[in-house]
Amino acid sequence: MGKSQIACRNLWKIFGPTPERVAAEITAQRTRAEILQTTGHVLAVRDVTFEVAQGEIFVVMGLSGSGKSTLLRCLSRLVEPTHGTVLVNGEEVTGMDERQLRQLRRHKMSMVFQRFGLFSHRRVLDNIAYGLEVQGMAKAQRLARAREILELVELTGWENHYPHELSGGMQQRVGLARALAVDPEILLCDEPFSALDPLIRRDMQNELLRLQKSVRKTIVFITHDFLEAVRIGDRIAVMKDGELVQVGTPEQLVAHPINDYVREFTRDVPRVKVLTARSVMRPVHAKDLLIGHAIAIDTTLEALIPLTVDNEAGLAIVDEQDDLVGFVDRRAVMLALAERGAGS
Amino acid sequence: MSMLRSSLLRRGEPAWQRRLPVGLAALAALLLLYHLFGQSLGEFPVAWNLQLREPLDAFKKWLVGSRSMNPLFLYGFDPLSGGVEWVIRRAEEFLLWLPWPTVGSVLFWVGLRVGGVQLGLLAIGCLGFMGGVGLWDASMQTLALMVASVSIALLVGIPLGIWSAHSDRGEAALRPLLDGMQTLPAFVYLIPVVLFFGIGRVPAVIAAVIYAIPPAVRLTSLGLRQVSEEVVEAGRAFGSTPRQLLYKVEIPQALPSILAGVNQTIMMALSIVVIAALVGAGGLGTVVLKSLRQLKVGEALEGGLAIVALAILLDRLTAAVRRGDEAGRGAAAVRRGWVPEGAVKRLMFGWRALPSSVRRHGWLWGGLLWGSAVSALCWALGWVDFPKEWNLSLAGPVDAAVRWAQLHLYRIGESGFGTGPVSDFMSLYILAPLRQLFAELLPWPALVLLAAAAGAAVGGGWLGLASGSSLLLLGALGMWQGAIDTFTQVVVAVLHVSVIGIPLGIWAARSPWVDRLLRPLLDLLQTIPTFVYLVPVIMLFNLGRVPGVIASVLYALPPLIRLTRLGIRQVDETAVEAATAFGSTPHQLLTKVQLPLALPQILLGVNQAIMMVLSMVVVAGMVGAQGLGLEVVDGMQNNRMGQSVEAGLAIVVLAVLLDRLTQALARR
Amino acid sequence: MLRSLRIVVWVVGLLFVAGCAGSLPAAVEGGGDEKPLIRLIANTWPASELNVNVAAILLRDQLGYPVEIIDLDEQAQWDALAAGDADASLEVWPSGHGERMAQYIDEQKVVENGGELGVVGKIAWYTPQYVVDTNPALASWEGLAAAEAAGQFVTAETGEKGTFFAGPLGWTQYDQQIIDNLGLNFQVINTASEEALLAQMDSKYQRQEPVLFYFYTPHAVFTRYDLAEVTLPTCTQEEHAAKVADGAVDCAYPDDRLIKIFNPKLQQSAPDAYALLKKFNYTTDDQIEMLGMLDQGMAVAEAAQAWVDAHSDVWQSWLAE
Repeated sequence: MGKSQIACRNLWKIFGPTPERVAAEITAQRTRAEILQTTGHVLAVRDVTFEVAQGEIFVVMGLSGSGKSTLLRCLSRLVEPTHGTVLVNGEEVTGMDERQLRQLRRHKMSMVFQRFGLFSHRRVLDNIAYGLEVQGMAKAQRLARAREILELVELTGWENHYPHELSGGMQQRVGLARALAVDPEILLCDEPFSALDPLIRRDMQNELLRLQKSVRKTIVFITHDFLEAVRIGDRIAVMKDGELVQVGTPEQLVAHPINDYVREFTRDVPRVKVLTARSVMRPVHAKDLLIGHAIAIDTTLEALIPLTVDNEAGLAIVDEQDDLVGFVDRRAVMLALAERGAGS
Repeated sequence: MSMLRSSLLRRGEPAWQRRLPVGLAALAALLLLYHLFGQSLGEFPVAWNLQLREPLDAFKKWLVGSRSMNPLFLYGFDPLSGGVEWVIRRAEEFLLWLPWPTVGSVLFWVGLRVGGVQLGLLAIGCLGFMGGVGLWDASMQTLALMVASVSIALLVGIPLGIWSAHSDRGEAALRPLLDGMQTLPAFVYLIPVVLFFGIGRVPAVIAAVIYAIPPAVRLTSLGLRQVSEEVVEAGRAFGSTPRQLLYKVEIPQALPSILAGVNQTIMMALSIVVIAALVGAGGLGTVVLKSLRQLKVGEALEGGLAIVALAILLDRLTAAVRRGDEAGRGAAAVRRGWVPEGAVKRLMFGWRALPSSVRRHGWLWGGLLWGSAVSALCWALGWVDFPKEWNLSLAGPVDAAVRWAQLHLYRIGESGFGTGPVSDFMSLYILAPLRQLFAELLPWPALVLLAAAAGAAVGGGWLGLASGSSLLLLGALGMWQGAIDTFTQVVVAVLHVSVIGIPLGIWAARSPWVDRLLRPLLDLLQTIPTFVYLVPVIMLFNLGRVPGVIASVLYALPPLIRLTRLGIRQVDETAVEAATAFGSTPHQLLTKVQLPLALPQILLGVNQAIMMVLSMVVVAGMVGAQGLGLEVVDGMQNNRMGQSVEAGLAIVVLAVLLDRLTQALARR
Repeated sequence: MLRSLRIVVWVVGLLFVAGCAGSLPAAVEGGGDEKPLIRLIANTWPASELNVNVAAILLRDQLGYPVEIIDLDEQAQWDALAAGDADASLEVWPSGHGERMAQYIDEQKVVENGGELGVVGKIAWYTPQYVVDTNPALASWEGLAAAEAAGQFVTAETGEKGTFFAGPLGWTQYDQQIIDNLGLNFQVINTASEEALLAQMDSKYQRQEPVLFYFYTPHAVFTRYDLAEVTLPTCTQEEHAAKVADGAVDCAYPDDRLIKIFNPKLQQSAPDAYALLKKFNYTTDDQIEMLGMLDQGMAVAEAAQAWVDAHSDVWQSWLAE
């Protein structure tokens, strides 16, 4: 993990006529439903703290109404947080004035939207160039830049079309290109693929991962789809009723769900693809037969299973430094597949 | 969120609110009994009068006396109106100085650019008609007046619309003002405007602007409020300044609605043309007024149709711009471009060498070039004035047709049927008894309570309170009798509009053939100045309340027919499919599915019809109907501004009351 | 698109400022010895237009004034003259403008009474000639008073009484008094506007039905409809005035002597034009002659020119010092 790029500390967002007053009255015991009933205020984000490292894809996963979109908007202050601080590169976003905020949005952060948020009155090229246009970049320059990005998202040839002439997947590519055009450090993605068909969604996820390899942005990605979170996230934060329930790598969540709520989501996860040797191995016992070659700790079960089939005795696991750290046998793999892995 | 709260409220609606209308109505019934069998409740108390009349008349008198010495006028209003007048006059002179083929070819060019060859030809057809009936000069005068009025209305209206879109408080403040501007009859302020701004084009422009601003404000605001929240958010997320957001995102996104507002603004401004002639604006309105004064129906109709031609021209051009804008968001339109671009580019060789602003506005420069070329040719050939020989006089045949109708439709043979007997029947057995019911049988406090009950029944306690107070306000304006008279006429007119309009709308929705036939007729009814057909209506239906009702019905039919048709057409196809799948007959389909689902639209149409009928109240007063209209006209004729204003305000109160009641009804 | 719009706005704005500056009073007075523009008001009926056109021809050709004719409503013209937006209107029917004459001319003196036009208006009761042809008795009030007479004029609005169509409420009318005091079985229906009154008359006329109504001469419609005046008891001007004061009118309308009204500043700004307009005076016959020309298809300006060409004897005296 690199250095921290976004830090979010004790963030609160309360919607209603007098959020400040309500915030003062809230105690840990009162649930969101109670607060709504008694004060008429909606508690959208409740005391959220997390950090995102540079170049990381941080996924916030939650069901609708969990406050995840609000949380995302608080990061760039599209929604004004009621309480708490947001830091970007150590600078306090929550303390910025309008101008500084505008500079932040123009140069450091950009956003991709659920329903694409494209400007239907502008051509594809002008949509992509919008961020550069409001920065005040000269027309020839910004269009040239837009063309580059267009090529990057593989939409060359569509520059003079209007958004509604494009398919949903293509439209979101435009949305992605628009966000990338300003070369931001941070990309905020608000359920960018949920409006797409499953197959297209899969393509777009791959596309994002492909792009990420070359652009290395810090990405905060919102989704309600746990499988999507698992597919693309370096780390996942599960959100419920405005609070973060658990934050961890996909494997940590699958292997060690903190409660039944999280466990429920992990049910449908293809464990063979998520779990690695790290979560199924057990410590090495003296009697273990360490024959054959050692297996890297981040080998997925998918790859591990054929090996255990061939190796009745089990496999030695080594970490990045080639030190022996654990041992995996058939039984451990089977148990992990049956959701009762080493952790449980 | 707000939905959540309102549903909570509804559930918690106290029982007294539901029983309120019943209670009020019962109280009204008690008062009626007391009135009939006990003591008479008498007239609306004079002591409650607001006494607006005397100060208003005194103010006007002071104004008349000090007008020519007051520096505020000499160095304020006079130069201001002088400037506007001067600009419009130059525009008029310019249009008249241009050879007629130039105007025609330039408008053809514009039509071609925004809507294709058909629209170009339509523009030429409209202009040709104006010239053909011998009204070229008057039409150009009116055109100049329209351009000035519409520009000013938009210059004021669009910024106001932007403000009201961004500020809920602004919208709340503007709404009653806009209602008032749209319903206060122009006759009320026409003469006072003359005192401030002199005679000629300026008071006409002001009257037109007052009337035409509301749609510009409303549709701009509506358009901006309807811009997708996510798109606005996207604009903000990329760091737009509020100004960039407005110009680069919000306004372009709201453009279809704003352009619809422009279109409405033009139509509203045009409807003032005839009235504008009263204060010396000249143009087509003067033609209509002069012809009517001499009962020359045919000539008046020519003037009226020239106004219609102008309306069609401006309406189709702006509508095409609007559609072009929507379609322009499609690649097809972009690729299609406009036909002659290539040709012009080749003509202006070295196209690429031209400055980019010229290249970008190629069609504009092309139009100028084309216009100049045509002008030069025409001056060389001496084709400046519209040729008198190309005369398509309609006056003769129209007058003959009116004569024929007078002789043969008034009483058809010995059948005892015809316009005369119908008129008498309506007057004796519908209008008179209804008026008697409201004016004599029901005591005034009972009416106030009934209005409150109606308000409470359709819209809850607050609307009930507002309705009751509105009636008291009518009384306090000293217009109780007039308001009752007008109200009866409105009721009768709206009933007729509904009985005729709803079936026609249904028919038009089901038969494309009928639809195609009705469409131009509705356009005509909506744009032809009412004054034009008032005289023939009187000739056929006799003086009194009936011609006013008939003119109102004709004027109010189009929106109801259109909205009924739209409502039925918009019924969800799956609902129709489902009903058909269950084996409904066409009749069952209509009465059990389509009509109930289209009801909100139809009620909106009725609401529109009521507003249209109310906008005809003054006109009805001019053809002998008693009521608020007559009070306005009488006050204007006799130098009693106070009376006109009181009656005008009463019309506004009545209009707003009926508007809110029907809208609340439509929402339920 | 936006840029060209901006250019247009600038150009119009500059023009507007120029126009504003041009209409400041100081700038107007600095015009030197050029003759000021005379603005004459034409009302919407032909006779009014004819008067004004005759005056315009004379002012232009004989005195060298630029002249503008403004088509204006007869109510709005009072404020226009008072404010100095127009200079003269040449045909005002006193019976229709009682309240304004009292206020603008007599009380506030913001409009000047320019004297009589010379044309004498005659208000009377009229019925179509065919009515009189079938029953000659109906040509006088005695005939109308007969028991069965009123029944012929019945309409739905008046029930068993005969209908008398009067003018708009604003006009000075004594018809109800005359009907009551002469014991006629008629009811007055006000017609709200002259157009409405004429349309109602025309409607009856085309179907050759009996109709009785208030009207006046000279008027252009008399060339198109054959109308007969119904005689009423006569009385002198003084007798009539006395009866009006008592509310007991029972005789014919007195003559309506048409007047001219001026902007009171006209005398100062254009003395010779003022003198001409002040002396402008001709007869009902002169007007009727021109109205006849209009009926033969002549334009108003042409008819006025023809009259000027033929009657220099009449207008020469208006020019004399």
